[in-house]
Amino acid sequence: MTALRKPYEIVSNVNQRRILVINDVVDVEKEEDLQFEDFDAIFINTIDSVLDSVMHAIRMASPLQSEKCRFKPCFVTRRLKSWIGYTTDILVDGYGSDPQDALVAQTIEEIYANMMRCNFFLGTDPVVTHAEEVYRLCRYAISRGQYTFSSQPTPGLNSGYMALYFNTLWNQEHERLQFKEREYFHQQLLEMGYIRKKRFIDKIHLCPNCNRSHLLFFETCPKCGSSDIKQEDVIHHFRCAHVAPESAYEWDGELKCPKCKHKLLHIGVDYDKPSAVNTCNQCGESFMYSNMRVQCAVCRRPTTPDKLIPLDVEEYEFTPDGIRAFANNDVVMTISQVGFFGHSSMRDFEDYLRQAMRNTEELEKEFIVVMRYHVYDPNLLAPKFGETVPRLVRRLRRLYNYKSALHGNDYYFLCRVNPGEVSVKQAEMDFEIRSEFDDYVTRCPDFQYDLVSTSVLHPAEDVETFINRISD
Amino acid sequence: MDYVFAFIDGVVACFTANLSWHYLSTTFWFLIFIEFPRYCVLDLIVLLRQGLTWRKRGERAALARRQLFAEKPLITILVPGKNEGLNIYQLVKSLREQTYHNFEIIVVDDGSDDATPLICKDLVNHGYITKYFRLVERGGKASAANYGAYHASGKYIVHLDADSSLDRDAIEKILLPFYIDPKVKGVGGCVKVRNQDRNMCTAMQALEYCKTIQIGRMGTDLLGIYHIISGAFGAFDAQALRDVGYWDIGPGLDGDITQKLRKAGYKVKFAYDAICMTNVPEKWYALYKQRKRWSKSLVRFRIRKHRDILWSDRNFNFLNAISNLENIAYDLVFNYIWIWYIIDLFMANTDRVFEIFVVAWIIRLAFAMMSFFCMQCITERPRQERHLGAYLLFHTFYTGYFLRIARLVGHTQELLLRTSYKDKWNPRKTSEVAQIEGL
Repeated sequence: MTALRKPYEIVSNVNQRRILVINDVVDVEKEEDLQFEDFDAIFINTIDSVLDSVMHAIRMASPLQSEKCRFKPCFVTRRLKSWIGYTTDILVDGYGSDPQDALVAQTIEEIYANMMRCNFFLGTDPVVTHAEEVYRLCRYAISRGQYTFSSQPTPGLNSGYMALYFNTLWNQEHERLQFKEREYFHQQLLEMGYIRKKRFIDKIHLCPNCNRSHLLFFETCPKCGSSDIKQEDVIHHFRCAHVAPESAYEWDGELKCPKCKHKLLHIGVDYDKPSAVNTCNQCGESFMYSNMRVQCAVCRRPTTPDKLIPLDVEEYEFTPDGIRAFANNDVVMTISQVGFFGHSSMRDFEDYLRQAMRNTEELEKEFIVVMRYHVYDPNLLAPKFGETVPRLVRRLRRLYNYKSALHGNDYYFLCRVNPGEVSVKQAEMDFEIRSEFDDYVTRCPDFQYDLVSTSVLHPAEDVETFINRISD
Repeated sequence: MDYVFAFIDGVVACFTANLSWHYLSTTFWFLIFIEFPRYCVLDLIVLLRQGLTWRKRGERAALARRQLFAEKPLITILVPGKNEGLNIYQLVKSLREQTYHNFEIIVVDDGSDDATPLICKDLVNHGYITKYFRLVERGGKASAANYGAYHASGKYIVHLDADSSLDRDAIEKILLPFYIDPKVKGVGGCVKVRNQDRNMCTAMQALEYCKTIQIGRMGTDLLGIYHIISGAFGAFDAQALRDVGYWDIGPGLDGDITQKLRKAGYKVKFAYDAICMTNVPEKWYALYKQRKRWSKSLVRFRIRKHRDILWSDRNFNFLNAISNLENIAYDLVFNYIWIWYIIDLFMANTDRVFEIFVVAWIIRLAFAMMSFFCMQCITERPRQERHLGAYLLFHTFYTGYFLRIARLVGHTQELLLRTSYKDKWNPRKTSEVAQIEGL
């Protein structure tokens, strides 16, 4: 009879590094007995027939997402390697047969040595904003000695490229960092001289609706749009100048001209195949060139190739200044957070609106909806000692698809909406935010909230008037 | 100066002292008994008929038009060609202006090596062309036309040359004969010259087209011996076309397909008012080569391939035989007789050859003016064509000598050497097979 395995345990390896061994799905953040200082590395040993459980365990102990595990070397048992494969290759530092594995021990030492080399500052504030999440991502890469934004095709990412951002995924196609935020971030880093373009990788095309690169291409019939088409050769019979698809000549296993009834024996002498033709099995239409239809695998909207958005994928690398700034966690102070979603200061929130207004062409394709709630939270009045980010804001971290700002007792939320979907999105947004508030009420019974206003920013409207209107 | 006066005296003498019916009929018999009835009297008969039957024809056309627009069948406009990209846009633009709209346009590119594929794809994308097919390996015009016809879904197929363009009502007009007489399965359109004002060469051809195509074919149509549906603009019943196996290897596809239709027992008609404009050669040598090619096709198809039409065709029809015979006689046999006639004239009148030729020119001019008068009465654009009258002065030299010599050379080459099989108009691979098979 074997003893029941503990959900987690701490073991020491040959180098006296303490390794947190996780045997089950454990929310490390919520384990009060576990503190940041208690362990130096993580070893995921969760064996479960459900893949999602394993992935969940890995995510919960992620050196990026868990505060207690931040930047610590993380390994997964080798038993899971072939099963979870590529996804985990990016998320963890390696695989080992057990926590005391010599290779694991060596990798841990290398990671810490690298951190030492670049004077890596381990202590940071909890991640609340998207900007902070991305900074942490960069810091994580630097801690692992990865100074290049590797740009290989990466499954699961919305734009299909740049493994650096794979860690912002929770599930496939569930990337928290929006495409525009990425662009904004790269631009900021380039301006600051923290990164530089290393090489051009590829020109890819994105869905004009959702900016994702997961596109399906269909060759279609120009008449009915069906992709049920077949291609066959065209035969030219020299003798009688008859030209028709090969199937018209097929006769009892031979080729026989339907016009003059002569057998076709020798290509180049009796006949040749000067072309090919497509035939639609649905409507019978014959055509030389098929049309191309594109469908986004994510938002499922059909489009045409000429409407896709071209994007140059570049590979970047950190400059020495960038490595230094990220290692010392100085970037928070130097890089603007205006373009990021998630929680931000009220000033960033307003600047985001000003920036959006500058690009009216973009604003014609997408409206900006702002919802303002009045909240009463006793915790805001009396924050706990050392609490830099209000508890309410931390609770609402899940709403990464909105840009939000807490200003006094007013909580603002912003999202971009396609024209024609404003009212639907508004209702959806209100429902989500109210649900989060309601959840918060269960923890803080005195919390109260109310929707004050909903405003839509139109391209023709003056942005300052709009900002005044939403703040009144 | 004395010589000039002597020459004028000679000419005047021809018309005064020596001019008698007997003299005329023995000296200018070729003009009076061969050319005059065919090219002048027939024109006058055509004009007379037009005048006498205009009301009846108008009523029948109106009824046919009502039937056409009530049924509104889909028409396939078939445009085969090689390196015609630059002309296609002008053609499809004129097709967009048509009074009859229910048509599809199929363009078949016979192995173009210029920007034609790009232009055509663009025209397809913008909805100017319904279907575009490309044969990467050139197979000849017949194969391109056949391939297009294979994909046609219209009730009638209108075959057009890519360098042509149509009057606004041309499609409507060319379809009416199908509704006037259901036995009609092929209708030829009237081809005129678009670049007629470019130079003398094109102006002479414009005059010739008006006379031989518009009036001439009205004459043959009147006699029931119309034998060539022009490749530049012809309409066919799709089923009948399928029954006769579409087009065979050229050159001379248009005459060949008309013969095939006639042999199959179908009627063919000429729509004199369905006007198609096309560009003609601008250089005399290019024109000479074109006419030589046309002449070769007469020998190859009418004398060799369709000789059975004269006696042993299973659908033997007297009119079909006459139509072929008329073509052979006037385009081939009389040309050789003409040589003998000229030599005879020369030998018999060695002392006044020059005067004789001037008199012949005057007689011919008179005939041409009569024909031109008929043309002006019948044509739909008399004002635009009136200035061509000035070229009647040169008409004798153009039709009487230049074209006749081109035809003679073409016929002789084809009769003796079968040079049409070496013509670059067809790719070598098909010509070789056609020669071996005796097609």
